[in-house]
Amino acid sequence: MQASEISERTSDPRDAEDAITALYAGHALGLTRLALVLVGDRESAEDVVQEAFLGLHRRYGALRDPANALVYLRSAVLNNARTVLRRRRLPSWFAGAYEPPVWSAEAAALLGAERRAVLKALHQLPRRRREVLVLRYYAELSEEETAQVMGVSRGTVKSTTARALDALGRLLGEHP
Amino acid sequence: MNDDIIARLRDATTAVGDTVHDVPGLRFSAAGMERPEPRRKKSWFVPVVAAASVIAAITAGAVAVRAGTGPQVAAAGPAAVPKFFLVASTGSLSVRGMNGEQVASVPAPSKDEVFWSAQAAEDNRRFYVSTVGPGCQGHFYRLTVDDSGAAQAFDRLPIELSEGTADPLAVSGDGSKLAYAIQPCRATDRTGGLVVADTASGETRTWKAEEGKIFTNVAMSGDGRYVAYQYPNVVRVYGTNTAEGGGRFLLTDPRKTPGPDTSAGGTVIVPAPGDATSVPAGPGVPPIGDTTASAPPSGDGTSVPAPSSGGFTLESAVPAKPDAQGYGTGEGPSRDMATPASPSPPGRTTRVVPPSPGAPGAASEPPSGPEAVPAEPAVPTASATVAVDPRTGEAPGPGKSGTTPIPSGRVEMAPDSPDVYLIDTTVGGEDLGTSRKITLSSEAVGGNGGLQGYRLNADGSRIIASLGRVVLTVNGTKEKVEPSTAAIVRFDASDGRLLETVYKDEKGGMRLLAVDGASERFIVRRGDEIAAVTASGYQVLTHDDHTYPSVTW
Repeated sequence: MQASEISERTSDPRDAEDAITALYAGHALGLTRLALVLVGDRESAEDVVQEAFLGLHRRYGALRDPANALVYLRSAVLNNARTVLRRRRLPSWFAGAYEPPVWSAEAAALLGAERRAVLKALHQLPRRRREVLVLRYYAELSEEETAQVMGVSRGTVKSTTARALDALGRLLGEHP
Repeated sequence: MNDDIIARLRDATTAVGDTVHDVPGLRFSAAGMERPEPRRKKSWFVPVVAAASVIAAITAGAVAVRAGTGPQVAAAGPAAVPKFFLVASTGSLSVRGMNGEQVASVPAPSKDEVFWSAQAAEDNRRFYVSTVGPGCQGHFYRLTVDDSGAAQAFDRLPIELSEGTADPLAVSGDGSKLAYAIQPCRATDRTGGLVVADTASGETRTWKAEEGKIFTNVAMSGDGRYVAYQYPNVVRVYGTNTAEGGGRFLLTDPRKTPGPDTSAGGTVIVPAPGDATSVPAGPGVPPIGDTTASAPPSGDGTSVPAPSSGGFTLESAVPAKPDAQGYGTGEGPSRDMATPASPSPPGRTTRVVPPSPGAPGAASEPPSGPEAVPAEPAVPTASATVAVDPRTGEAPGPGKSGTTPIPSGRVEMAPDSPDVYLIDTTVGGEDLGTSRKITLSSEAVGGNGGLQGYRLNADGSRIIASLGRVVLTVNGTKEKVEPSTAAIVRFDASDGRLLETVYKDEKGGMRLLAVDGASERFIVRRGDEIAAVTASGYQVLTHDDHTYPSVTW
């Protein structure tokens, strides 16, 4: 795409809004679910997704290919979720209050002990391993798509996935 | 090994994701994009975006098929995730949010015309209700609510209901068609019918039952093509013992050989009331004095045996309408055995089962004869046959007026017949012979229990059913469901093969009341709990104290 095309597209903000509106209608629910799996509470998940769309709106004109918008959104969700989780490690007065994760015993969600155990184990994994598992097996992204979203190579996705599964299995007592 | 880990991971993350059914709208402003409403203080995380006016707003109508943001995310579909459920009591319709709070209420059309059976279109915004009025003349109505649940319209549909009660009621996904069974009102009329009606034109198509038969448990596929129905299960009173501490009698399927296994100690097996419940006018049911009773579409009604020298009492929490007596016929709101073989409409009544001639102390020998099967010999009590007339819920003999105010004991609800009949309504004619019979097994619950209600999915290819055993321990007005394996399952409608167990627990049988348009969320009744069930779990929506409303979403 030429610079002139970018300039032309950004000249009418309503085009961007229409495109983002369509993306929101098509993907906001799925992205919110993805964010929920990552951060654990719905309010934070919705914020994460709103932030992602906000960022897309700001940067839409700079996208070289609108087809990459979804990749951008997924990456933004991942980054924003990291920010949320990092913030939770700060003192509570700074991090603010948030609902307990849906997989915690205090949560109202009906998941069952088995699922709670899996989710707790998932969240004990290092960040990259956790993310790669969620993207590969929850969001059902291919290795290539996962690599794009995470900003790493396909080989890294492959090796990280293998290690993550092994670690998760150990945490769940299925691997020695 | 990893496959198992991956499967568990997918299951758990999907369950978490599925707890989100909708998302807030997105807004653009002249200055860019903004949140619709800041929901809480967030000091620095959220960049502040000034907004002067809203240019556009959308609500995310996307429906994720299962999870994730990949190819599984589908475009918006017509089947809405339920935001509301409807509770149809005789006197009013109550629209409630998922927290159980009422958001709208519609009173019955008149004091003489009461709501009976209700079902919802798959958009979760249109609810269809049948009524019963004076002279057993009922009508159909459609309640339309908006996105906040507020009632927008309450329209009477142009469908003429000839004499009889429309119960149960089923509706196609788009609300264009209703299917219902006609339950005859008059004692002399013992033949039912199956009807499919166009909600716009009022045109109907009727399949008449064989002489002396009625239909029950009617369901319709989302596309309106297939209608499923059943014949009421037949149960038999074969013995009555009145022991210390509790009444004891048994109704059982006469096709089975009575024996020690057919009745757990102290268990009372009664015809299970339907989702709404009462004993249907049982065509083919012998007159009073016979011991065969037609079981209504089962449910977990609260027919409660009362131990006493006076007899058994089944009392409704709601007083009987003086002019609305009759027998219930399935899934309508009335749940108690009723009185009267008259053209009067069904209603909530009190069932009184007086002691039989052979009640306590009167007979030391088990009853005999083809209808009377000896009670368990291990029970060292007097026994006698109680002949319960399914129309009246009463047994003949002296002391009819004797009642006992505090019922207690164990009650087992007879499950529905395992046989479901499916008819393709695109095939012309009025011949029910084209129906396909499907027998549903209870293997998913280890064979312990039976069918506790079913529905069809969108294209009629699947039967969603509740399986289990409903045993209630009753003590006064309190009842408790005995723990046992219960499950919501999917069967292949072509051959009755069990395909999938959607949900399973060990908390006792539950009656399936409604299924959402996506066939993924179910409303069940377990004891006094009206609950939502999904693959992720069981959540109580509200409680019902023996009024047995028709509940749907």
